[in-house]
Amino acid sequence: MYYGWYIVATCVFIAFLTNGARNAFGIFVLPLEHDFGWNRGAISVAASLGFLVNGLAQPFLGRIFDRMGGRKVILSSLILFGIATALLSLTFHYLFLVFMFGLVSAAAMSGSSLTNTGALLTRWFRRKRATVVGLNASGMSFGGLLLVPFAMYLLQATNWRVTWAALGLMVLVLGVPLAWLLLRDDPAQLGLQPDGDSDPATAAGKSGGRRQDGPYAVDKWRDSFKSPPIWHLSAAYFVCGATTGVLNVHFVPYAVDRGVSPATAANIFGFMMGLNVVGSIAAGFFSDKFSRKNLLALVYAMRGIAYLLLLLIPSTGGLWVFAALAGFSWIATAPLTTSLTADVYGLKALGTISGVSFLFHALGSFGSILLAGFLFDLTGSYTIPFAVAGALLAPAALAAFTIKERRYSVRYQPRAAAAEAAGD
Amino acid sequence: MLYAILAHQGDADPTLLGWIKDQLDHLLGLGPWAAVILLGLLTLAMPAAIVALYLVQQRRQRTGDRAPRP
Repeated sequence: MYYGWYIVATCVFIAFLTNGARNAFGIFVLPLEHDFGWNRGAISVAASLGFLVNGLAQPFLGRIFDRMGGRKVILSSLILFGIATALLSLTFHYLFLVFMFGLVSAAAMSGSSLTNTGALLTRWFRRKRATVVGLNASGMSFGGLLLVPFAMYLLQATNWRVTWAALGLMVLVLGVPLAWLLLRDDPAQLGLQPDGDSDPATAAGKSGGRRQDGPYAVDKWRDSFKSPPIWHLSAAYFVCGATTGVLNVHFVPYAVDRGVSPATAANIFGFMMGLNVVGSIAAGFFSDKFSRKNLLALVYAMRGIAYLLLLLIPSTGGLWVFAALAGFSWIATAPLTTSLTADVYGLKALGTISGVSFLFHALGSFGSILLAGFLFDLTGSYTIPFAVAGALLAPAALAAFTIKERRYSVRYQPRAAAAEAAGD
Repeated sequence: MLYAILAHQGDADPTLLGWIKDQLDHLLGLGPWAAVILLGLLTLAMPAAIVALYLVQQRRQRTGDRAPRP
């Protein structure tokens, strides 16, 4: 078996652990309220600050990734994340919670995030690039499905201090040794070629004689922002953040507002979350076979139609239709955006470029949640914020569709043309 | 101001978390400790399987390297 698959498995497990441990925060809200008398809004500040810090730290940790290599960054971030999570068990003051969860843990998580592990995987795979990044993204969902219930039961059996200590120890005892044993920066370190090809000539032959870099391949991340594709991708990613962020926070209250019981609303949301695993893996797999930008445009268009149907079909059926369509598209954008960025700009500055691109996503998410809350307070309904979110998806689909992938992506660059251009 | 902005953001939805737990209670029908052990073992099985596969492959490679070539 090609060693790259061990890298994939390790990255999926890291995504599983870190996202599971982070997403379990919700279960600690009630015990913290009870033990310290803090209100829910105050506790939410720690989570929200963490969300913001996570987005802001991505470009910086991406830069360190590009300079030092993925293994060091991911491993040290994982150690810090595990320690910070375990230390949350010692929470004694509100500022300690904000500092440890909102700053330290969130920044550490940026280092082992999908942005960096995705950038690492693109070094190991070329032909199956989006497939493996899609698999990696699905680890996030598995963390929510398995590790969050684990924490819930442990909390029920013990208390919140033991639960946080256990989550931190799991990262330190299971995640860190696995990453230390298996993560490697580059296939060349083991004398291997991407995708497990036997030699560079074979690799070029199997990929249709394509060259290694496209015309926009950059050494410095700033150079990428002088060309159109990254602006198309980042603008679309901003909308992606805006349209998923608003759902994360406001979907269940919206469904309840429409007369659905909280249990059914949660059922619909759970169904949507389950589908995102399928969507992410399928999007990655198919984009390795077909045009990535067309698939990305399709994913945004599908989400836009989902929003439209949500507003047009007033019954509970509308919510289920929305969940089916939006669920497929939820994290499907991640493997498509990461692999298309790698195809166009090469691998040398990919960590930073992806980090900056993700920052657009985080800002979109942050802004949309605020705007939706504000518009709800103003109008007493979620109709306008959801309509705005849906409307934004049309230009996002257009931005993705108008990327000239055939001209800029390495997947469509013939080797002969590259040699001619280089004058050899 | 910053506090007001941040407090508007949400953490993991308690309704959804409650739903996940209800589904698992219904599916597993176990007490909390039994569920902890089961889910903990499932989590442990993942890195254990990856490492076991890696070690087996390493061992096979070493055996293959040592085998006399025709």
